[in-house]
Amino acid sequence: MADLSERERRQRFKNRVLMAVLLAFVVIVYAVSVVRMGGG
Amino acid sequence: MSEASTAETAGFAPPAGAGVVPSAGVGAGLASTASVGDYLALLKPRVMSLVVFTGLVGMAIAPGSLHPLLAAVAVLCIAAGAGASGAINMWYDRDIDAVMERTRTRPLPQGLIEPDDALAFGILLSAGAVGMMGLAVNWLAAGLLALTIGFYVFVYTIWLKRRTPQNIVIGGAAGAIPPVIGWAAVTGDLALTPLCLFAIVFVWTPPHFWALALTRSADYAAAGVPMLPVTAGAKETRRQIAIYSAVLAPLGLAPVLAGGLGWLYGAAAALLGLEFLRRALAVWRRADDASARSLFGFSLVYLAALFFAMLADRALGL
Repeated sequence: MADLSERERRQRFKNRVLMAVLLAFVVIVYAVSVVRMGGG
Repeated sequence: MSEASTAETAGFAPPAGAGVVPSAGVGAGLASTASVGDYLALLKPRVMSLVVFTGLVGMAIAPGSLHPLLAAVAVLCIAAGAGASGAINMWYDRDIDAVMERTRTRPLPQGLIEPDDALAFGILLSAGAVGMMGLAVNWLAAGLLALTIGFYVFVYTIWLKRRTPQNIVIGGAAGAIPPVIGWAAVTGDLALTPLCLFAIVFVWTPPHFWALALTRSADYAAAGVPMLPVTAGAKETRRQIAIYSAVLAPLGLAPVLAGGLGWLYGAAAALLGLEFLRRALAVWRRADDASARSLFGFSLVYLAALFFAMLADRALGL
Protein backbone atom coordinates (compact mmCIF):
# COMPACT_ATOMS: atom_id res chain seq x y z
CA MET A 1 0.00 0.00 0.00
CA ALA A 2 2.83 2.33 0.90
CA ASP A 3 4.46 1.69 -2.49
CA LEU A 4 1.21 2.43 -4.28
CA SER A 5 0.73 5.64 -2.37
CA GLU A 6 4.30 6.74 -3.08
CA ARG A 7 3.85 5.90 -6.75
CA GLU A 8 0.66 7.91 -6.96
CA ARG A 9 2.25 10.85 -5.19
CA ARG A 10 5.18 10.86 -7.61
CA GLN A 11 2.85 10.51 -10.58
CA ARG A 12 0.73 13.45 -9.45
CA PHE A 13 3.85 15.56 -9.02
CA LYS A 14 5.13 14.55 -12.47
CA ASN A 15 1.77 15.43 -14.01
CA ARG A 16 1.89 18.86 -12.41
CA VAL A 17 5.45 19.47 -13.58
CA LEU A 18 4.51 18.38 -17.09
CA MET A 19 1.51 20.70 -17.05
CA ALA A 20 3.71 23.57 -15.86
CA VAL A 21 6.26 22.86 -18.61
CA LEU A 22 3.56 22.80 -21.29
CA LEU A 23 2.08 26.03 -19.94
CA ALA A 24 5.52 27.66 -19.91
CA PHE A 25 6.06 26.49 -23.49
CA VAL A 26 2.80 28.10 -24.62
CA VAL A 27 3.66 31.34 -22.82
CA ILE A 28 7.13 31.41 -24.41
CA VAL A 29 5.72 30.79 -27.89
CA TYR A 30 3.18 33.56 -27.37
CA ALA A 31 5.77 36.02 -26.06
CA VAL A 32 8.22 35.20 -28.84
CA SER A 33 5.47 35.70 -31.40
CA VAL A 34 4.73 39.14 -29.97
CA VAL A 35 8.42 40.12 -30.04
CA ARG A 36 9.02 38.75 -33.53
CA MET A 37 5.99 40.62 -34.86
CA GLY A 38 7.48 43.82 -33.50
CA GLY A 39 5.13 44.31 -30.59
CA GLY A 40 7.69 43.63 -27.85
CA MET B 1 32.49 18.61 -22.86
CA SER B 2 32.26 18.54 -19.20
CA GLU B 3 33.79 18.15 -15.85
CA ALA B 4 34.96 15.00 -14.20
CA SER B 5 31.68 13.66 -13.22
CA THR B 6 30.41 14.51 -16.63
CA ALA B 7 33.20 12.83 -18.49
CA GLU B 8 31.95 10.38 -21.00
CA THR B 9 32.57 6.69 -21.09
CA ALA B 10 33.26 4.52 -24.03
CA GLY B 11 33.51 0.79 -24.44
CA PHE B 12 34.09 -2.02 -26.87
CA ALA B 13 30.80 -3.63 -25.96
CA PRO B 14 28.34 -3.95 -28.85
CA PRO B 15 25.85 -1.12 -29.13
CA ALA B 16 22.79 -1.51 -27.01
CA GLY B 17 19.56 -1.71 -28.94
CA ALA B 18 16.23 -0.10 -28.20
CA GLY B 19 14.15 -1.93 -25.67
CA VAL B 20 17.01 -3.86 -24.12
CA VAL B 21 16.40 -4.31 -20.44
CA PRO B 22 19.20 -2.66 -18.49
CA SER B 23 21.22 -4.50 -15.93
CA ALA B 24 19.26 -4.99 -12.81
CA GLY B 25 20.12 -2.23 -10.40
CA VAL B 26 18.87 -1.54 -6.93
CA GLY B 27 15.83 0.14 -8.38
CA ALA B 28 15.06 -2.35 -11.14
CA GLY B 29 11.36 -2.77 -11.65
CA LEU B 30 10.54 0.66 -10.22
CA ALA B 31 10.46 2.47 -13.55
CA SER B 32 6.93 3.68 -12.97
CA THR B 33 8.13 5.46 -9.84
CA ALA B 34 10.68 7.58 -11.67
CA SER B 35 10.75 11.00 -10.10
CA VAL B 36 11.13 14.39 -11.74
CA GLY B 37 14.65 14.39 -10.33
CA ASP B 38 15.45 11.21 -12.24
CA TYR B 39 14.45 12.90 -15.48
CA LEU B 40 16.52 15.95 -14.58
CA ALA B 41 19.50 13.65 -13.99
CA LEU B 42 19.04 12.39 -17.56
CA LEU B 43 19.86 15.92 -18.74
CA LYS B 44 23.36 15.78 -17.23
CA PRO B 45 22.93 19.12 -15.47
CA ARG B 46 26.65 19.63 -14.81
CA VAL B 47 27.50 19.23 -18.47
CA MET B 48 24.58 21.45 -19.31
CA SER B 49 25.80 24.22 -17.04
CA LEU B 50 29.18 24.39 -18.78
CA VAL B 51 27.57 24.28 -22.22
CA VAL B 52 25.13 27.03 -21.27
CA PHE B 53 27.91 29.15 -19.84
CA THR B 54 30.08 28.95 -22.96
CA GLY B 55 27.03 29.57 -25.15
CA LEU B 56 26.12 32.58 -23.04
CA VAL B 57 29.62 34.00 -23.40
CA GLY B 58 29.41 33.50 -27.17
CA MET B 59 26.25 35.60 -27.11
CA ALA B 60 27.73 38.23 -24.80
CA ILE B 61 30.84 38.93 -26.85
CA ALA B 62 29.05 38.96 -30.20
CA PRO B 63 28.58 42.36 -31.79
CA GLY B 64 25.02 43.60 -31.96
CA SER B 65 22.12 42.89 -29.67
CA LEU B 66 19.28 40.48 -29.24
CA HIS B 67 15.95 41.15 -27.55
CA PRO B 68 16.30 39.95 -23.92
CA LEU B 69 13.42 37.52 -24.30
CA LEU B 70 14.90 36.02 -27.46
CA ALA B 71 18.29 35.82 -25.76
CA ALA B 72 16.70 33.95 -22.85
CA VAL B 73 14.97 31.60 -25.29
CA ALA B 74 18.28 31.01 -27.08
CA VAL B 75 19.95 30.07 -23.78
CA LEU B 76 17.01 27.82 -22.91
CA CYS B 77 17.27 26.10 -26.29
CA ILE B 78 21.02 25.55 -25.88
CA ALA B 79 20.37 24.08 -22.41
CA ALA B 80 17.56 21.87 -23.69
CA GLY B 81 19.65 20.70 -26.63
CA ALA B 82 22.56 19.83 -24.35
CA GLY B 83 20.22 18.02 -21.96
CA ALA B 84 18.56 16.11 -24.80
CA SER B 85 21.97 14.96 -26.04
CA GLY B 86 22.76 13.74 -22.55
CA ALA B 87 19.49 11.83 -22.29
CA ILE B 88 20.02 10.07 -25.63
CA ASN B 89 23.63 9.36 -24.66
CA MET B 90 22.46 7.76 -21.43
CA TRP B 91 19.87 5.72 -23.33
CA TYR B 92 22.50 4.38 -25.72
CA ASP B 93 25.18 3.79 -23.09
CA ARG B 94 23.03 2.25 -20.37
CA ASP B 95 24.81 -1.09 -20.78
CA ILE B 96 28.30 0.25 -20.14
CA ASP B 97 27.04 2.78 -17.60
CA ALA B 98 25.90 -0.17 -15.49
CA VAL B 99 29.47 -1.50 -15.47
CA MET B 100 31.34 1.68 -14.62
CA GLU B 101 31.65 2.71 -10.99
CA ARG B 102 31.14 6.38 -11.81
CA THR B 103 27.97 5.91 -13.88
CA ARG B 104 26.18 2.94 -12.37
CA THR B 105 23.95 5.14 -10.21
CA ARG B 106 22.44 6.89 -13.24
CA PRO B 107 18.65 6.48 -13.63
CA LEU B 108 18.80 3.95 -16.49
CA PRO B 109 21.27 1.45 -15.00
CA GLN B 110 19.31 1.74 -11.76
CA GLY B 111 16.12 0.80 -13.61
CA LEU B 112 14.39 3.98 -12.48
CA ILE B 113 13.45 5.07 -16.00
CA GLU B 114 12.45 2.83 -18.90
CA PRO B 115 14.97 3.07 -21.78
CA ASP B 116 12.23 3.86 -24.31
CA ASP B 117 10.98 6.70 -22.10
CA ALA B 118 14.50 8.15 -21.88
CA LEU B 119 14.92 7.97 -25.67
CA ALA B 120 11.53 9.58 -26.32
CA PHE B 121 12.34 12.28 -23.78
CA GLY B 122 15.65 13.04 -25.51
CA ILE B 123 14.20 13.09 -29.02
CA LEU B 124 11.25 15.30 -28.07
CA LEU B 125 13.52 17.71 -26.24
CA SER B 126 15.94 17.84 -29.19
CA ALA B 127 13.18 18.57 -31.67
CA GLY B 128 11.64 21.17 -29.38
CA ALA B 129 14.96 22.93 -28.76
CA VAL B 130 15.96 23.09 -32.44
CA GLY B 131 12.46 24.10 -33.60
CA MET B 132 12.15 26.80 -30.98
CA MET B 133 15.64 28.16 -31.71
CA GLY B 134 14.81 28.39 -35.41
CA LEU B 135 11.43 30.03 -34.97
CA ALA B 136 12.38 32.38 -32.13
CA VAL B 137 16.00 33.29 -32.94
CA ASN B 138 17.35 32.27 -36.33
CA TRP B 139 17.86 29.15 -38.39
CA LEU B 140 21.67 29.35 -38.44
CA ALA B 141 21.73 28.99 -34.65
CA ALA B 142 19.09 26.25 -34.91
CA GLY B 143 21.14 24.43 -37.55
CA LEU B 144 24.26 24.61 -35.39
CA LEU B 145 22.29 23.31 -32.41
CA ALA B 146 20.98 20.41 -34.51
CA LEU B 147 24.54 19.76 -35.72
CA THR B 148 25.79 19.69 -32.12
CA ILE B 149 23.11 17.24 -30.98
CA GLY B 150 23.57 15.07 -34.07
CA PHE B 151 27.37 15.07 -33.73
CA TYR B 152 27.22 14.16 -30.05
CA VAL B 153 24.70 11.38 -30.55
CA PHE B 154 25.67 9.84 -33.88
CA VAL B 155 29.36 10.65 -34.34
CA TYR B 156 30.57 10.59 -30.73
CA THR B 157 28.20 8.31 -28.80
CA ILE B 158 27.27 5.77 -31.45
CA TRP B 159 30.26 5.80 -33.80
CA LEU B 160 33.45 6.77 -31.99
CA LYS B 161 32.98 6.23 -28.29
CA ARG B 162 33.25 2.45 -28.29
CA ARG B 163 35.69 2.17 -31.15
CA THR B 164 38.67 4.44 -30.79
CA PRO B 165 40.78 6.21 -28.18
CA GLN B 166 40.37 9.29 -30.37
CA ASN B 167 36.69 9.35 -29.27
CA ILE B 168 37.00 12.40 -27.08
CA VAL B 169 39.37 14.17 -29.50
CA ILE B 170 36.93 14.14 -32.42
CA GLY B 171 33.83 14.02 -30.26
CA GLY B 172 35.05 17.11 -28.45
CA ALA B 173 33.78 19.14 -31.39
CA ALA B 174 30.23 18.73 -30.05
CA GLY B 175 31.18 20.41 -26.79
CA ALA B 176 33.05 23.17 -28.59
CA ILE B 177 30.17 24.40 -30.77
CA PRO B 178 27.94 26.10 -28.11
CA PRO B 179 29.89 29.42 -28.08
CA VAL B 180 29.47 29.49 -31.86
CA ILE B 181 25.73 28.90 -31.45
CA GLY B 182 25.58 31.79 -28.99
CA TRP B 183 27.41 34.08 -31.42
CA ALA B 184 25.19 32.98 -34.33
CA ALA B 185 22.07 33.58 -32.24
CA VAL B 186 23.00 37.25 -31.92
CA THR B 187 24.56 37.98 -35.30
CA GLY B 188 22.90 35.42 -37.56
CA ASP B 189 26.38 34.90 -38.97
CA LEU B 190 29.74 33.30 -38.25
CA ALA B 191 33.11 35.00 -37.77
CA LEU B 192 36.71 34.29 -36.83
CA THR B 193 36.28 35.06 -33.11
CA PRO B 194 33.66 32.36 -32.34
CA LEU B 195 35.72 29.91 -34.37
CA CYS B 196 38.66 30.72 -32.08
CA LEU B 197 36.45 29.89 -29.10
CA PHE B 198 35.53 26.63 -30.80
CA ALA B 199 39.21 25.82 -31.31
CA ILE B 200 40.06 26.57 -27.67
CA VAL B 201 37.38 24.27 -26.24
CA PHE B 202 38.20 21.63 -28.87
CA VAL B 203 41.91 21.52 -27.92
CA TRP B 204 41.12 21.82 -24.20
CA THR B 205 38.91 18.71 -24.23
CA PRO B 206 41.54 15.93 -24.69
CA PRO B 207 43.90 16.93 -21.85
CA HIS B 208 40.86 17.53 -19.63
CA PHE B 209 39.43 14.05 -20.19
CA TRP B 210 42.75 12.23 -20.33
CA ALA B 211 43.77 13.73 -16.97
CA LEU B 212 40.61 12.18 -15.57
CA ALA B 213 41.10 8.91 -17.44
CA LEU B 214 44.63 8.55 -16.01
CA THR B 215 43.16 8.31 -12.51
CA ARG B 216 40.33 6.00 -13.53
CA SER B 217 41.96 3.75 -16.08
CA ALA B 218 41.08 0.59 -14.12
CA ASP B 219 37.40 1.52 -14.21
CA TYR B 220 37.56 2.25 -17.94
CA ALA B 221 39.45 -0.98 -18.59
CA ALA B 222 36.88 -3.01 -16.64
CA ALA B 223 34.14 -1.59 -18.85
CA GLY B 224 36.21 -2.19 -22.00
CA VAL B 225 36.46 1.52 -22.63
CA PRO B 226 39.08 2.47 -25.25
CA MET B 227 40.32 5.57 -23.49
CA LEU B 228 43.91 6.46 -24.28
CA PRO B 229 45.41 5.27 -20.95
CA VAL B 230 43.79 1.88 -21.54
CA THR B 231 44.84 1.43 -25.16
CA ALA B 232 48.17 3.28 -25.30
CA GLY B 233 49.24 3.30 -21.66
CA ALA B 234 49.72 6.02 -19.08
CA LYS B 235 53.11 7.16 -20.43
CA GLU B 236 51.80 7.91 -23.91
CA THR B 237 48.72 9.59 -22.44
CA ARG B 238 50.91 11.92 -20.38
CA ARG B 239 52.91 12.76 -23.49
CA GLN B 240 49.73 13.51 -25.44
CA ILE B 241 48.44 15.70 -22.59
CA ALA B 242 51.67 17.72 -22.73
CA ILE B 243 51.42 18.11 -26.52
CA TYR B 244 47.78 19.27 -26.46
CA SER B 245 48.52 21.63 -23.58
CA ALA B 246 51.45 23.14 -25.48
CA VAL B 247 49.04 23.87 -28.32
CA LEU B 248 46.30 25.12 -26.00
CA ALA B 249 48.43 27.70 -24.16
CA PRO B 250 49.13 29.94 -27.20
CA LEU B 251 45.74 29.13 -28.76
CA GLY B 252 44.07 30.94 -25.87
CA LEU B 253 45.44 34.18 -27.35
CA ALA B 254 43.81 33.58 -30.73
CA PRO B 255 40.69 35.69 -30.02
CA VAL B 256 42.97 38.68 -29.36
CA LEU B 257 44.85 38.16 -32.62
CA ALA B 258 41.50 37.77 -34.39
CA GLY B 259 40.57 41.19 -33.08
CA GLY B 260 37.58 39.98 -31.12
CA LEU B 261 38.91 40.60 -27.62
CA GLY B 262 41.34 42.97 -25.94
CA TRP B 263 44.38 42.96 -23.67
CA LEU B 264 42.53 42.16 -20.45
CA TYR B 265 41.44 38.85 -21.89
CA GLY B 266 44.85 38.40 -23.50
CA ALA B 267 46.64 38.78 -20.17
CA ALA B 268 44.27 36.33 -18.46
CA ALA B 269 44.60 33.83 -21.31
CA ALA B 270 48.40 34.02 -21.21
CA LEU B 271 48.58 33.43 -17.44
CA LEU B 272 45.98 30.66 -17.46
CA GLY B 273 47.63 29.01 -20.45
CA LEU B 274 51.04 29.02 -18.79
CA GLU B 275 49.62 27.52 -15.60
CA PHE B 276 47.81 24.84 -17.62
CA LEU B 277 51.03 23.99 -19.43
CA ARG B 278 53.01 23.94 -16.16
CA ARG B 279 50.60 21.43 -14.63
CA ALA B 280 50.53 19.35 -17.81
CA LEU B 281 54.34 19.15 -17.80
CA ALA B 282 54.16 18.12 -14.14
CA VAL B 283 51.85 15.27 -15.13
CA TRP B 284 54.38 14.23 -17.77
CA ARG B 285 57.42 14.38 -15.46
CA ARG B 286 56.01 13.12 -12.16
CA ALA B 287 53.84 10.35 -13.57
CA ASP B 288 51.58 10.15 -10.53
CA ASP B 289 47.83 10.35 -9.94
CA ALA B 290 48.09 13.46 -7.79
CA SER B 291 49.45 15.60 -10.62
CA ALA B 292 46.79 14.22 -13.00
CA ARG B 293 44.05 15.08 -10.50
CA SER B 294 45.56 18.52 -10.08
CA LEU B 295 45.54 19.11 -13.84
CA PHE B 296 41.99 17.86 -14.14
CA GLY B 297 40.76 20.20 -11.43
CA PHE B 298 42.64 23.12 -12.93
CA SER B 299 41.30 22.37 -16.41
CA LEU B 300 37.81 23.21 -15.14
CA VAL B 301 39.05 26.39 -13.51
CA TYR B 302 40.94 27.25 -16.70
CA LEU B 303 37.90 27.09 -18.97
CA ALA B 304 35.61 28.91 -16.56
CA ALA B 305 38.18 31.64 -15.88
CA LEU B 306 38.99 32.05 -19.58
CA PHE B 307 35.34 32.57 -20.47
CA PHE B 308 34.82 34.88 -17.48
CA ALA B 309 37.79 36.88 -18.77
CA MET B 310 36.03 37.18 -22.13
CA LEU B 311 32.94 38.56 -20.40
CA ALA B 312 35.02 40.98 -18.33
CA ASP B 313 36.99 42.13 -21.35
CA ARG B 314 33.84 42.83 -23.32
CA ALA B 315 32.03 44.42 -20.36
CA LEU B 316 34.94 46.77 -19.59
CA GLY B 317 35.68 47.42 -23.23
CA LEU B 318 39.43 46.97 -22.77
